[in-house]
Amino acid sequence: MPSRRQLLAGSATAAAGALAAAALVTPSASASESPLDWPMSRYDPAGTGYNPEASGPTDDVRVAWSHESTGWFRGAAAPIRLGNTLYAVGDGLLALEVADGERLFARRGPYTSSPARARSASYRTDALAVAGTGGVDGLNAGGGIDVPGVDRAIGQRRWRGPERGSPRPTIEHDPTVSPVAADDAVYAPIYGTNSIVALDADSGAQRWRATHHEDDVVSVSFGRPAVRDGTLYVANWPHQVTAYAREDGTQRWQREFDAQMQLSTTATDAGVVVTTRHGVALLDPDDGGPIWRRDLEGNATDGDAAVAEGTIFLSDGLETFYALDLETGDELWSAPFEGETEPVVAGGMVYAVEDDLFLVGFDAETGTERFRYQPTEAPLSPPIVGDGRLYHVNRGRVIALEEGE
Amino acid sequence: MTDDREDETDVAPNDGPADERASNSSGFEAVVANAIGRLRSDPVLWLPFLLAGLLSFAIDRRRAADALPVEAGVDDATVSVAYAIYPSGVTETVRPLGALVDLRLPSLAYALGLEALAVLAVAGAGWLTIARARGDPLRPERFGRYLLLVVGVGAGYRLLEAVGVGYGGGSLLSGLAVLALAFAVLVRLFLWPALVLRGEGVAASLAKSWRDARGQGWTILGLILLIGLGAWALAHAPVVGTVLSVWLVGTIHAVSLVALLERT
Repeated sequence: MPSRRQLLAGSATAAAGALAAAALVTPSASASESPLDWPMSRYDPAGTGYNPEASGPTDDVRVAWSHESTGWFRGAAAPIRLGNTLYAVGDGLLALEVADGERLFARRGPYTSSPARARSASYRTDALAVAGTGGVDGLNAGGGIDVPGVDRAIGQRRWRGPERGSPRPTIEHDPTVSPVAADDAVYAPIYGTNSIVALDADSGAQRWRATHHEDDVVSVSFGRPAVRDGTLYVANWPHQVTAYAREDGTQRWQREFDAQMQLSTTATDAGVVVTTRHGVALLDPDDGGPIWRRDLEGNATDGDAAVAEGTIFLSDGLETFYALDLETGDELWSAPFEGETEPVVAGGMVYAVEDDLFLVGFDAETGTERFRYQPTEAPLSPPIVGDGRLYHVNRGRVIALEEGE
Repeated sequence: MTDDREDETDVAPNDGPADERASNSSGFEAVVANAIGRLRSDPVLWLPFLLAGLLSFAIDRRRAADALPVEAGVDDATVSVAYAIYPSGVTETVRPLGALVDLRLPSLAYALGLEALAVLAVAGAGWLTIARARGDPLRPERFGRYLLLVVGVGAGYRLLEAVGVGYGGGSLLSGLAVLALAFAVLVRLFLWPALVLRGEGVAASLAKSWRDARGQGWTILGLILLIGLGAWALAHAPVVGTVLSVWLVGTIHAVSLVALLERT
């Protein structure tokens, strides 16, 4: 017969086990599905920057709400939206109510890019893949189990990606390329390396890795990858565009375009839109051969193109914003615009941030500038679009903009 | 007081010539010589941690193959002291605590079961080795308390790691100060596992370990460095790193605890 001491010891162990099990299955704020979800930077794996279900302000904007009470937050990457939760990154992860900006949770950490929602088979909550100068992490979209008073949680980070090192200081506002998530995989360049990797969304295990210029210590600088129909397309400095099989990383084709920096890829049904230093091109998705090229006489070193309803929207990096026909590359309209940008499209409007500061709203059909808004802080992230609102990270705050008076 | 503590002053049956030689020397060398003497005279002492090492190796393989997050258990730093208070060694993989939060129930049951098996293997090996080295009968209630210690200390480590609490920067001087403080605490806790298995309560043995470490700081520090560096170095061996680290370091740690305990 067990002694009283044995019973006490057994009870204590059982209680500790029960407590641990209860904590580990504590209900968390799991994001619901919504047609207005904006689950990663540039909206979808293809990088179109276009949600046909969403709409934003059309004539003017005003601040609907501003969250600025998280003192350590400093961000420049676009937020994402999952259900009624807005996630913003800047020296940590903020989860806010979409409706009023009320804070759901905050988790400090060395994260800099936009998160990407990755579907999870083993977990009740999705993973948010996020990059920093130390590597790629998989965060718990539910926030984990809160540790009061320190903006940290048990289980806030689910996994670490490969080559996870110490975060490196940088003066860049947005130093890392945002990961892309498709189905149960995450695709991301690894900061400070010449490699792009495919990771398992549940475990962070590396499925494949592709390395450019293996003998060259200089970083090749990747653009945001684009994924469509089983293929991943990625542009990299200085001159390459490459297509990989999503499944195993087999290289399907690689094109080198001398004398032009290759900046970004957007995958469409007509082909792969590639922005370059001087212009834009449409490549055949099967072999990378050019379908058409447009020299816009620009000078871009950054930025992406949005593609919606057969039209490409991009800036030339100098002083003009363009709308081009996707099939032919012909100019549909152009408008004055300073510098590089990452435009998004919704509800017949194009939204683009100029010089990291001014939000400009164009009529997608005519190119008419409908409004211009300057926030109180800089930089202003690219927007995401929801139900009549735009959402931005704006240095130390997160803001929602709605139709003005 | 129950009879759990009656044999606190028991003389281990393995005391023999090796122990006599050790008693003539002092400190670190004496404890190590005593431990080696015990292992030579009773090779069965090697068995529990060998089995624990093989089981840990199988668990490593399982962790690496399943669909859940896993991290390297071996620090890639230039040099590292992998010391865990209780005899354990180092495994090639660990499951971070964050990987268990919000798991679906079947996956949670699987993951917790695997971690429980890993803890039971190491705790069981420690219990069997220390009891045999001391010549104690196997008493399940002592194992229960020891298991509580192992689970508590292991969970504490994982908890601190999971919330990102740890020394993360600052000057070299402040770094050294934190390191010195950490070693000072570890020295004081060194005897804790052996005292628990001698039959004292978890809290009472913690206090006694703190007291009994006085005057033996350098000896214990030497043992911690030997154990910690050995565990880290052996775990780097290809393929069999986990087996070597758990088997050799776990055994030597456990027997050293008994050797030191008998000097206090």
